[in-house]
Amino acid sequence: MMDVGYYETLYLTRPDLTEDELNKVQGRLKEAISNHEGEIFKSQKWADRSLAYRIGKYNKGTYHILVYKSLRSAVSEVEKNLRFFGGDVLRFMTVRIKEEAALRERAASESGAHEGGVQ
Amino acid sequence: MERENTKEKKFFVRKKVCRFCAEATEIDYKRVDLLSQFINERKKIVPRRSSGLCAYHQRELSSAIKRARVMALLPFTVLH
Repeated sequence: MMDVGYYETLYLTRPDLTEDELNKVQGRLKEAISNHEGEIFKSQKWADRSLAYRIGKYNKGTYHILVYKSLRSAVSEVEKNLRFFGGDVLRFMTVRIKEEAALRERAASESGAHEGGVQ
Repeated sequence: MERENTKEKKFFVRKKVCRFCAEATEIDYKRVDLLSQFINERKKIVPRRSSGLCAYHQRELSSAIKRARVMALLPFTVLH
């Protein structure tokens, strides 16, 4: 059996990121996941928040969430791409999530229920 | 006899029940409002003796708080 898992990546971008720049980042992530036989369940903005501490010159930031199912090797490629956009992406974190949680996210995003995300 | 009774009362301790076991809620590092209930005013993680959690949930909670700190959802200290 291949090493397939369910992952959730939360990444923090600088607050003044334009839509074009964000699309560029997300395009790269999408490509990385599809290169590793992955499937994206959810990719959306999670929250605009003021940060708990200052990062560089930013006191605010935008969090984006990405839920996907893929080979384990996709995670390192996703993180490599996020690191590549180091000026735009301030922080990121990937955690393995339970299968039920991932499928719940997919169902929620398919039904088009776009709630602002849990704070 | 009377003396002993008062002594017993003095040492009576209410049994603590782990909040997460009782409510069956999952601990997630993105639930900032939940996690912030378990840090004190110096932003330190509250110990088990005052949070009243079971060992498993205290462990999960403390790693969730640490993750949240890395993502700048929670502060490391008050000195930032």
